[in-house]
Amino acid sequence: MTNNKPLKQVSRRKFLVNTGWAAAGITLLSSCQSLLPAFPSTSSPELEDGLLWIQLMPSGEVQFLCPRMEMGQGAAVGLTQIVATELKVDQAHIQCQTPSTNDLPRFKLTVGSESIAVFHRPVAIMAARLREYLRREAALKADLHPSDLKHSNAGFISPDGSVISYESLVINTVPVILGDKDLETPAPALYFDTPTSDTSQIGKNWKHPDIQAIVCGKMTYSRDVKVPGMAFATVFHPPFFNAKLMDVNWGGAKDKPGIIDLVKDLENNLAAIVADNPFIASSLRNDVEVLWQSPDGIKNVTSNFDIQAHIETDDFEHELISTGNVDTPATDSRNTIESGYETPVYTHAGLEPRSAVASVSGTSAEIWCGSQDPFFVRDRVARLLDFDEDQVVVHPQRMGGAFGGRVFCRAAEEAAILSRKSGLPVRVQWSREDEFQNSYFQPPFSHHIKASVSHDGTIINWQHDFLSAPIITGQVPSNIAWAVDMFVADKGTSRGAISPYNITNHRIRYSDIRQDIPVGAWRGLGSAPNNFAIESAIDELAEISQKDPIQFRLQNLPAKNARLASVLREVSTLSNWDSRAPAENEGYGVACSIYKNETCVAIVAKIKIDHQTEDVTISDIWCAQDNGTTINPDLVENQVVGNIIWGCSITLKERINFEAGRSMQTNFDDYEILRHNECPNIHIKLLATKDTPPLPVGEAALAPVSASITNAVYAATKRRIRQLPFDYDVLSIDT
Amino acid sequence: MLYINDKQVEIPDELSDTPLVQFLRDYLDLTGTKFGCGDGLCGACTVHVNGSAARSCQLVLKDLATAHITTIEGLKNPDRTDALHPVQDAWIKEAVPQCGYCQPGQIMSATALLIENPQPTDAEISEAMSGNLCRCGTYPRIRKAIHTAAGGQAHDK
Ligand code: FES
Ligand code: FES
Repeated sequence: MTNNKPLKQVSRRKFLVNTGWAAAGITLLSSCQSLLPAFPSTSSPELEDGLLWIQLMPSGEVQFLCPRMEMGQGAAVGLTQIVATELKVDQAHIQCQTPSTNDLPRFKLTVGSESIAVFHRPVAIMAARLREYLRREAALKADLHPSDLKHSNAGFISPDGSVISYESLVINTVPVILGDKDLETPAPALYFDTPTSDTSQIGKNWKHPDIQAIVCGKMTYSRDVKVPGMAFATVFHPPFFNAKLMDVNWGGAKDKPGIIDLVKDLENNLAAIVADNPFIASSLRNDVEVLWQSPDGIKNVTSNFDIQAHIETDDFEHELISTGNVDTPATDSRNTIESGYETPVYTHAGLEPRSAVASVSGTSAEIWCGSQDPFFVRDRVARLLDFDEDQVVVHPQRMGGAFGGRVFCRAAEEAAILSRKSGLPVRVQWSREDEFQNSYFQPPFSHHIKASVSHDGTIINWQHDFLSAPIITGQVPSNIAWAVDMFVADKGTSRGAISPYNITNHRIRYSDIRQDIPVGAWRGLGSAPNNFAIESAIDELAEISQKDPIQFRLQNLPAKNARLASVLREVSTLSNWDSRAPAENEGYGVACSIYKNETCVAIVAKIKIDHQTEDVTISDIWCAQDNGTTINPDLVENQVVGNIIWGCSITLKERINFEAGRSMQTNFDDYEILRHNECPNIHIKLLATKDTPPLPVGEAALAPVSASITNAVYAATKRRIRQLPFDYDVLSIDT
Repeated sequence: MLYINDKQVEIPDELSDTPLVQFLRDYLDLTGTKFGCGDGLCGACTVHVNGSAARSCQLVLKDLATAHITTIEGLKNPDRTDALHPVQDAWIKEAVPQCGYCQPGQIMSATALLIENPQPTDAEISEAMSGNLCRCGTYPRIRKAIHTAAGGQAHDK
């Protein structure tokens, strides 16, 4: 798509402030802009950003240029339902399109389950503004006052009953788009706020418009993009972290027909074969010898942190909470727990290995790739090519899974470098092995929790210390990382670290220690590792209090977390918790969390241990979730199920280990993810809380899955699982 | 001579060592067959070879001799030319896909299963579908959709 409207530039200053990195003192650097790296798009939507989102086409259909990227979460569908509601059109008369970077002003990157939670209102407002603009136009046309017109399906009805359709309001086949002056009128009331039953699409199960293309194999992902005349690259990626390209011995590849370019680009750390067809380059892989070195050595690569040393020296950089006196002793040492919990390094393992096509000329570049932040891709490519940002256009493609792993796209950058060099459009496709070694990771976490309860089961004190690496700022370039680390406590690392319980004597501390491992966003950031530690320790406290785990949680929740208490009660009913009757080697466990202080989730897991086959099976998961207003229950349920399966997968299977600066896992045989035959029966209840706005969904249900499972294992075996992942072997070791 | 979606396809000599998945995608433009792992581990590249599910990343052209290959693009409704295959219909009805990338492979495995076993149980579905990974976690809906396509009722394990 193209659209020649001039784009509004967000000022660098505003941008920095919104990134939150300004606090890191990076603004010091803003006087020398050229030194600044490209930044992710982190500004929340503002009114004028949305002028082009919704357009009335000459056909009378509505076009919605959705400012969110699709990776399977279905947010575009939910937002389209909101537009349709405000404009009273049905699904057949609204088209949702993925915009290119020159179609819309920069919009916020698609992360953090914000697409509905943060965008539903701005999108509803823009749709309502377009509706009111059309009403004014219709009134002019009919020589009436706007308030005389009744809004009806895709048009208005005048008092005499005549219909003024949207289509009739399009002049000279020019799409109707809001302008700056339309923002001066008072904000119209939203149907979203007072849903009228007949035309509201809220709560309906619209299917994704691409669903037929997907099941017919016609959906285009980055890997399927074809650009006429494109060449095909095979890129040799760094085999270990911080590897610098030293030399390439092209061997037999030199004289092969079809070779367009043999690229040894030391500055960009890039070695590649570019060929005129896709078949030869990959077959030449083994003929080529690439020499990499690590001039600075490989330091700071850890697959796990050791928190003990930090505890001994009381060495934690950040304090999240400090209230009361954490040294308040329990009256009885039997009422105290002191525990360590660990989670490993994870990768995203989206099913589509990343790919991109770039077409670079002397003055412009076009990029086709999937990314959660196409504007960040654009800006990074612009810097690489020494172009202005508006010389680069990114055409985002549907992603075959992202989960935080596609904030930028190195494949696009590689393709851009190679395209400029060869003068042809170039395609770069990563292998699965490239994905495992050359993308970024979720860092390991190590926790230490010391807590005690009174005789009646009230939590008296809670000291939680943990270590991990910075996540949100994990991809900050190394030349400014020191400044960031000096001033910023990474909020991604600490996501979900504050437990929802009422605790008077309370201290939470952590350190985010930067590693030479590439670290970045991964589903839910710190929320799953942090919840595993918290909800395991809570289970220990319930145990020493001799309380029912659900009752213990309810007893210790403050009134302000009544919504969490409700989902706990709901999951108790759903799973028949009170009348559960586990057979031998079976157990039930519970865990809960509040995601981003908003979405409340409680999960009960049932596990079975088979000593014959030496297996632990998760047979059932029950989940109650309160995510406020649900726009599309079917898609929300898909997200909840997806999170639960992801949670089972990390609990039983996933782990990356590093050796000599590389991932020891290279494909799905040594990094297994949950398979069909391992999938539990899943039972979900969404609490209908219509008066609460839509809350985040895409990552919420993940956090409590692990602890619900390991707490179930405890119930069955009296073995406390302290490290993820775990398998039967851990249970068979005598303690 | 190789048949792909009922069409005879000639294989250039120099491509005899090419994996089928790459031939489908890059030579025939049949990009519905996806690449996920290249190692027979994920099922994204599943096609039918002579009616059975096979991983097209594990097959090289020279070994396929006179095989009949069906890809997702070649799935047909047995009774009507203007309708989708019943399994594709069931996939839409149950709104299975999330990102959708694994789904062509899932559908090819599911259709192969139903050819062999028109009324599979949950256990049989689990077994037949376990070579197809879905990172988005659509397994429960896949199971439901297979039952829907089989015309039966979904039932718990
Ligand atoms: S690509 Fe063939 S099985 Fe994964
Ligand atoms: S739907 Fe995304 S991998 Fe299956």
